[in-house]
Amino acid sequence: MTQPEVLRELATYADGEVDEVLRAELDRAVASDPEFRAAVARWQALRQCARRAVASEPVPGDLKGRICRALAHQRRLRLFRWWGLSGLALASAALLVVLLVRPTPPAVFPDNGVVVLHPADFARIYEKCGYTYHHSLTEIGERRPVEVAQEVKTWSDIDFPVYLPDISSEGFRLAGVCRCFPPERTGIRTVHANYVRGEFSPGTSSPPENVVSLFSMSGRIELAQQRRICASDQGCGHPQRHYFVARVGENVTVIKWDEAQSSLVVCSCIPQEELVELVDSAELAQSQVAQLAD
Amino acid sequence: MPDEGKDSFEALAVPHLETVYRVARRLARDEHEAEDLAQETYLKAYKAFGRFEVREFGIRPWLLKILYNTFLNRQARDKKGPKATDQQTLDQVRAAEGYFGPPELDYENLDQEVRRAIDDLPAEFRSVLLLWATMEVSYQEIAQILGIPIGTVMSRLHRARQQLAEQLEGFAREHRITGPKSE
Repeated sequence: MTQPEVLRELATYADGEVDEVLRAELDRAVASDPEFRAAVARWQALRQCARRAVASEPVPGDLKGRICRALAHQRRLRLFRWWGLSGLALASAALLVVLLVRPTPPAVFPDNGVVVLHPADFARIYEKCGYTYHHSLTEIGERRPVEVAQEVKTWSDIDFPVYLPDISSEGFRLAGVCRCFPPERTGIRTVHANYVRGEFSPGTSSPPENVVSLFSMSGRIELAQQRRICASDQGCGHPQRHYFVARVGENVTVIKWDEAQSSLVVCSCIPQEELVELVDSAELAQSQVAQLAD
Repeated sequence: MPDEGKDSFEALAVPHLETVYRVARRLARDEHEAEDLAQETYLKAYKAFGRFEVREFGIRPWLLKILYNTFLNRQARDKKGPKATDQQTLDQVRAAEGYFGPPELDYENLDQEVRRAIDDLPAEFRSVLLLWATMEVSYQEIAQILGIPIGTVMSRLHRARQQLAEQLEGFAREHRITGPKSE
């Protein structure tokens, strides 16, 4: 090998990356020439300089903790997914319902102490618990509403009138009763009853007009942007009630009225006039109120 | 379910955090970017740990491979890809005989100068040089980590070393240190 050829190979030689034949040749060259030995030493020194320079870079003190926390977070997520796939789908669905029906806008307390709630919150429960899931905390079966009401009366925190009218004459049957409508920010407690008519199955494309939600509230509320229904609108047939209405989107109607010290709300895609008639016809209340208040 | 034992990801990978960070620091040339890069590397590695098989060199080359790919992805994402390097005119560095780096050398200044010189290298040279400098691994292993042919490793390393030597030449002269002789 010529001197330039040897010099060209010495960096690789210094790294120990040459094959045996070439190594033997370079070993002899380095042993016989101090310039080659110096070149090898310089390449090795350069590597050591680079290694030292990189290794002397200070590492942020909190980096390890930060990464360990990120890994722990990932592990929790993985555990959550693992559990989620291992049979708690039902519980997750229930949780989803609760989360979906959480009221998004904060409740407002006007000067008179009455809680103002957004009609969209009722519409959301109507859509999820009523139309999509027929959410129920009890088995309805063939029981009449009044029988279900007796059971609901035994639930915890039910110290207010719960209205479960029998509106089978209008074609509706009771399909579910739940407590959805988290009232933690308002102090208001609620029982939500959903009624269906016809061949209705949850989760299908059955018409939403076949579902009605009725909310019994533990106190008086008002609907945001509510408007009182007057006789000139379409007539309020019930002599003792004052209906207030609010719209959500294109086709959801929310109607509220008061009974004694509490409010009731009905929500549906049924046209407003028909919904008013349905509520008018429901002599829900007084007999059951008296019954439940006993 | 995660394994918390000695073969868990944390037990195997966290001891290499400093190396990963330091390589990330020189690759990214920015402290905060390096921290993010290191964290992203570890999270990716954690997620892919099930596919990792401990081989001859352990988990470190695997982590560095993820680091390098993450770095490239970030560069592509930020549209700050490595600029094409002009053909370097590698001047011959002629210096007197002797070892580079006498014992009385100011190592702190030297380290800074070397880091600066490494930072000035194009990214594709820098990555090869960093692996070469920080790890006792073969060219073949570097090629596997970076996903490039071994011939490319050798040519990049050759040019990276030459440039590093050039960069350090001025510092060496200033401090009356002999520079490395060119090949």
